[in-house]
Amino acid sequence: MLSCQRASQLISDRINRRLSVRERLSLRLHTLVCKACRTYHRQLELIHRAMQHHGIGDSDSASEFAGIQLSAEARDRIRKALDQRV
Amino acid sequence: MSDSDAAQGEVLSDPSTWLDDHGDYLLVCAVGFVREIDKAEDLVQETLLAAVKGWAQFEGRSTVRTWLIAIMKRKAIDQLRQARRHAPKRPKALSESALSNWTNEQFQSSGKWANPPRSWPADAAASIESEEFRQVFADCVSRLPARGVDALRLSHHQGLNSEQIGKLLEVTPSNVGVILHRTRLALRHCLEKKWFGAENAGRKQ
Repeated sequence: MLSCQRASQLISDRINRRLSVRERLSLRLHTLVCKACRTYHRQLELIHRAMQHHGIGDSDSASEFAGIQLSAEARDRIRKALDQRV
Repeated sequence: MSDSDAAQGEVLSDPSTWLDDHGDYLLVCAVGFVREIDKAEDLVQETLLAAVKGWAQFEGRSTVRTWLIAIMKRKAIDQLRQARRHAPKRPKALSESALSNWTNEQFQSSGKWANPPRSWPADAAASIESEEFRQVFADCVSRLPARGVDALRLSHHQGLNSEQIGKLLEVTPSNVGVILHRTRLALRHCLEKKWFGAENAGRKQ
């Protein structure tokens, strides 16, 4: 049976990759009987949502750059650079 | 139009339309990486230049936009790797070795939690939307090692996989997983201490 230490690593891994069948099964067995790890999983999910809301990065928030577009000046500049290349 | 017809249409698409068709979208992605408008515009430019140069290699297996984003990711990784070498100091941040030691202390030798996570109050989920929480969150992030913050941000917002993040942070992909794990443990702990588990103000009533 997985230890909580190992289970917590897998709970984290699962956010970023597909667990193998074996990993998935062992984790499920563990969390079935371990309230602490179930709680940990829920709390990581909430933190995940918080990151979606607020962004992450030391001083800026996710909404700082929402909906930005290339300025006309930037467009011109880039177009010129591309035209030179082609 | 079938998928392959659409892809064919894109293979035949004209690079000179890419700036119009994809420029704004690329900019939004770029700021996700470099966090400054000027640098983001440069990244868009670099990406489009590289795409024009490498157009012959595009086989139409993905859409043009997907392909452009893939190019941007590679460019961004290179840029960010350079930038990390001159990153500003973060005085409140834990060192990585301190974080590693701390992580080990979170578990007993049996592998059980030393301090098992306990449930947070019922209003925890609603509380994350507040400005007060945002400040506490930013404060907790400032205490994490830079590599951990980068790994979290890039995996979360930019959808980079462990191999790509590994290239950027100059560690192996499985090390990326370890970094993410430790960072999340520490972030959760800080948030519990300063917000979710805090008994007094800071949390709205």
